[in-house]
Amino acid sequence: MPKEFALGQRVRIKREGGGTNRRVPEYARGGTGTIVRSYGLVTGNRHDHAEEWGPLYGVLLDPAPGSSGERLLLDIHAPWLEETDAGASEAVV
Amino acid sequence: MVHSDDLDAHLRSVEEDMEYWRTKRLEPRVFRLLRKGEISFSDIITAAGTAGKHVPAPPASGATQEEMVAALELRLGEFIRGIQVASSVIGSNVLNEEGRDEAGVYDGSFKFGHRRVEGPTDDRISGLGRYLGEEMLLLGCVLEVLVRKGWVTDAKLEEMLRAPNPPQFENGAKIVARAWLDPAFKARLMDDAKGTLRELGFALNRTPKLVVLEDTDSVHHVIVCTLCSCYPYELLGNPPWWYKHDSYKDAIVREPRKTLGEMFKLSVPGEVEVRVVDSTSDVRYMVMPRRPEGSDGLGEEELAKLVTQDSLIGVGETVRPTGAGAP
Repeated sequence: MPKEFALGQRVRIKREGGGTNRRVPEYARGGTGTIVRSYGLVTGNRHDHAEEWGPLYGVLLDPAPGSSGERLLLDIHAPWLEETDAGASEAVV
Repeated sequence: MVHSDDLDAHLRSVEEDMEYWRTKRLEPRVFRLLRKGEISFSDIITAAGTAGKHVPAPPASGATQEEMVAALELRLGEFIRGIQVASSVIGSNVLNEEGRDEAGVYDGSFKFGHRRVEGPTDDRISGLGRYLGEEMLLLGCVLEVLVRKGWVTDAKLEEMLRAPNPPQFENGAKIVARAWLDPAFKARLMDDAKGTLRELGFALNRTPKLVVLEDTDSVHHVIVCTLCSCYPYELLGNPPWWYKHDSYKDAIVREPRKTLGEMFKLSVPGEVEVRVVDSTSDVRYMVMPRRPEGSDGLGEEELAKLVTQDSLIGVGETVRPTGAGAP
């Protein structure tokens, strides 16, 4: 079973090693953030990808250094995520 | 690249859209079929004789430049429709993931190059018309090959090409208007957009998950798909041309607030967080913009007219009701 994460949990997006799913944007790899949405296993998307890629999470990335109130929210499958102790640089809205 | 009503920008949008559909949706699928040995180049060439029956003849060209561009745009719509039909027929034979490989989504060195027609406006109009005519011929050939291979019947193909009522962004506008008026509906929409909209008759069979993002006083949402062009197609129809353009994708994730200002002339107040949602095919997003000031007392239909396509993506504002006073 792929690893599961909890809402509010701190995560890091892996740089590589997430399996056959290649849909993690380059710019987000290695980034840290917080789980803000949990979609579970997404089924019913067979016309787009035949494989199951594990539970899907909405990850709110930490703001880039020097950004002024701008953040990115990405949907990332569990195999691309790992727990991290790195704290958020500010509270999650 | 800016939002603009000027003719050159309009013409460039037709060109970009045509190149997008050619290089991302039509030719990669043809290449995949060729590589797999499902069809051959000679199949395509020999289909040319009867290809014309699948694609409409070019419309009569207008007298003014504006009319000529409008005619181009109509033809582009037919081109896109034909590619969508071809894709749905080919779909079961070629997996999407393979198509993405073929289009160079994961490896830039496989990307199909875009052509650009330069020169004075008249030359660009005629040049684009010629390109579009050539691409329509290729499309007609591909459709004819699909029939000859027995993947679809002639009758079924014609039925698919004529299918009416494609989804449009006005669907989203009506949904937003209703959510502004009806708190219980809004609550259900936020909780389960797909289920709620299915009750209203939207099929959403190819939309695994749908999420409506509500803008507030503190967060302004913007949608993008940096990898390809994921969008709530089944609900809102096709996105605007710039949505699929690399210049938008690159800029909106790098400098969101600045990009909204420079590309779309949308100024988001400093105290409001700009939250960019980089979506994939598993979850499709639509923005629910804030209800414009001065819209008190308006009914659902009038409110829906204030919701623009851009505001459902988060790059534009809703329209202020007439008579609401200057901002």
